[in-house]
Parts: sequence; structure tokens; C-alpha cells
Amino acid sequence: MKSKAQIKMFETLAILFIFFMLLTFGIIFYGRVQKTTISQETQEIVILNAIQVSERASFLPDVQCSFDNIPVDDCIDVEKVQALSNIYLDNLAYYYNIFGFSEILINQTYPDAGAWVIYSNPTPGSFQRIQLPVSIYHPIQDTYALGFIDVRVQG
Amino acid sequence: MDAILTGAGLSSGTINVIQIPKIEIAFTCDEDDISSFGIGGFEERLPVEVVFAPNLVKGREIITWALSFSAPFKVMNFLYVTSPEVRYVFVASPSNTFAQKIKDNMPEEVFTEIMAPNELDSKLRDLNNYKIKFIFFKNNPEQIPISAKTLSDDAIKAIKVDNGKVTFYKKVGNTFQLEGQSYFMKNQAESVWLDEETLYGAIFSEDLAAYECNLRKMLKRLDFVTQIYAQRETTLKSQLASADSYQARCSPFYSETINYFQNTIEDCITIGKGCDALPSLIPPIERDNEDLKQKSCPLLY
Repeated sequence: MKSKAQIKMFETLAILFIFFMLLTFGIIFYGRVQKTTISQETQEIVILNAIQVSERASFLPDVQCSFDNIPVDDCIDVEKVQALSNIYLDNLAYYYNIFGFSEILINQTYPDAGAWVIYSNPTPGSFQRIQLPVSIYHPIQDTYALGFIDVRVQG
Repeated sequence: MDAILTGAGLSSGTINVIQIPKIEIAFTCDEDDISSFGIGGFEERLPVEVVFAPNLVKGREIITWALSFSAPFKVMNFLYVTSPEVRYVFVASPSNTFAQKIKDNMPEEVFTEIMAPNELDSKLRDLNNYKIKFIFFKNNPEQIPISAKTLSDDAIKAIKVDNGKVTFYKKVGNTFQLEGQSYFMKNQAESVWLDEETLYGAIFSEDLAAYECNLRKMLKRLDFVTQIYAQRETTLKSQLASADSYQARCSPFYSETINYFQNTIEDCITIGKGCDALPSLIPPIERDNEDLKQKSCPLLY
């Protein structure tokens, strides 16, 4: 009778052991899946934020070309860019509300190379990068060049 | 919601009807001129965007409408947000073509109607709207129409549009009463700078405080955009003066009108002076731009 009781106890212990092993494996597996999901969702948010910033930069009246108040899409006025680069540092808090922690550059590639900073407020770490082709208008010469907006958003 | 508002505000002249779960979206603007929208206790700040909306937007759809605001160059897009369950009642005599034009230009999806002042009691029916905004043209709002008397004071608001000014009223019991003091004008509850985009802002805004909060945000934005155009004008003037003789002929036509406009804006923002003069400083800039266009010179804007 004593040995029967002992066998039953060992059975119970074995079942409990297996149960807790399975529970542990389940928790570890679930935790890993959640980590991957959170990482993917974070990445999606970062990309969405980068797209928002690049859209704002492209359509901002502060830099967008306009002729007789008709805005021109995908066109940047280089004199406006230079003016903005002079004033945004004194008003960083305001432009931070538009661009956050990011860096926005205009790179001219044709016919001559050139580069201008629209906004620069980066933080160390990884960033999401988006490049959009634009035409660059030089009002004094009344000429156009080709280039791209380079948007790097922290995330 | 943030992405929806960003996207909706990028292209002017666009109307979006967005299906949403049956939720309530609260729009506020605090004393620091930071507006925000909140859903279920979560709040998102809108420090730069100008969004004219009732304090509560609820239902299964929200309507967003973006219009470009220029002074005279493009400053920003205004975003108007409302619900099909909010009712906008235009009160004007049948001969008032301006009132009809303002009503007709509003998106079809927005619930609008127009009636004469003496028809309010007879024609206005209770359609179970949670909010009604009356827009009076020239007539003073006095008595609350019979069918609207049962609604709470918060549910009924009114504005009066007359002579380029808009006056805000709130419901107190069975009558309309003036709201408080205006930031821009010494007269009670009157706000200036009335072009169509800001008039629609007054129509969609919950009250005077929300309207002026957004106007102050607009002014801040106008300040920065004007600084850029002023610097651009100065650069064009100086660089063209030293260019070849054909381009140098353009330099005298840049008369620094934008600089003067920018200085007045700064005075308006910092010391509250000159705000009512701002609209009158726009036509000289437009004239200069027109002159430059006729002479084939680089434009101011």
C-alpha cells in the first residue's frame, strides 16, 4: 500500500513537472513572438513618421516654388531654402513641431552639384531615410536644376 | 488619426469623408495656443496645424476639408473638421447672395441649410442633431428658435457676419448672448481678418476662444513664412542690382513691402499693435508682384 501511494505521488509530481515545463516554453515562445511584433510595429511607426516628415518638407510653403501664388509640386526654391536655413535655428522649437528629430537636405545633382540644409536637428542613433526627386529653382538666374530631397528621420 | 489629419491637410481644396468607429473626438485649444484632439482619454497635440472644428466631433463619419490660406502668398492650409451630425443654419434674407455663396461653397457632405430670419421658428425642425451652429448675416441673433430651445446651451452656438467682422454668440437660456472680449479688437467679441478661409474657420469653430487660438497659430506661421519671403526679396534686390544690365533693371521694383508687412506682424504678435492694419498691407505686395510680372522680373511670390 505504501509503495502504491508513492507511485501515485511520483505520477502527480511528474504531471506537474511536465505541466510547468510546457507553461514555461509557452511563456518564452509568446514573449519572443510579442517582441517581434512590437519591433515590426515600431518600425512601421518610424516609416510612417518618416513619410509624414518628407511630405511636410515637400509641401511646405517655406520652400516650395510658387509663381503668382500658384504652388508648383516637386519644386524647391533655392532662395527660400537659404532664407529658411537662416531662420530655423532661432526658431528651432517651432520647426521641431513640424520636422521633429530629423535632417532635411536638398542635394542638387544636375547640371551642377550643390547642397543646402533645410533643417538639421538629428540625434545619435539609427534613422529612416527617404529621398524624393525634385526640381530646384534658382530665381535670380530663372533656371531649373535637378536634385532630390534627402530626409533622415530618427527612429 | 494623426496621419489622417496630416494627409488631409496637405492638398488644398480637398474634401475627405472618413469612416470611423462610433467614437467621440474632442478638439481643444489651450491658453498656450496648442490645440489638440483626444480620443478616449488619449490626446495628440497639434502645435502647428490650424484645425477649425467643433469641440466634439462624433458619429460614424468625419468630414475634413482643406483650404489654402494666402496673405498674399500661401501661408498654410486650414483644415476644417466636422461631422455630418452637426447642423449649420445660415440665416439671411433671400437677396443676400454672399450668404448663399458661402453656403454653396461648403462641402455637400456637411449638413447646411439657409433660411430667412423670420422663417426660423416656422421652418427649423428638430432633426436630433447634437450640435447646431447658426450663421447670421447682418441680423443680430436674439431669440433661440423654438425647435432648438430644448437643446443644451453647449449644443447651440451662433456667429454674425457683417462688414468684414464676425461676432460670436452663445446660448444662455432662450436667448443668444455675446461671448467674451476679443484678442484683436477692443469691441466686444468681434474678431477681424475676415476673408473666406477665416470666415469658414469662424463657422466651423466651437467658439470665439477656439477661433482666435487658431488665428494666433496662423499669425505665428505667417510670421515665419513672411520672414522667408522678406529675406528672399532682399536677396533678389541686392543680387539683381549687381547682375547684368538686363536683370539689374528689375532691382528698383523690389520696394521692401514684405519687410514692412513682416515688421507689423511681429508687432501684432509681441505687443498686440497693428493687428487690424495687417489686411491692408497685402494689396501693396500684390501690386509690386504684378509690376514685376509685367516686367518679366523674378516674382516676389
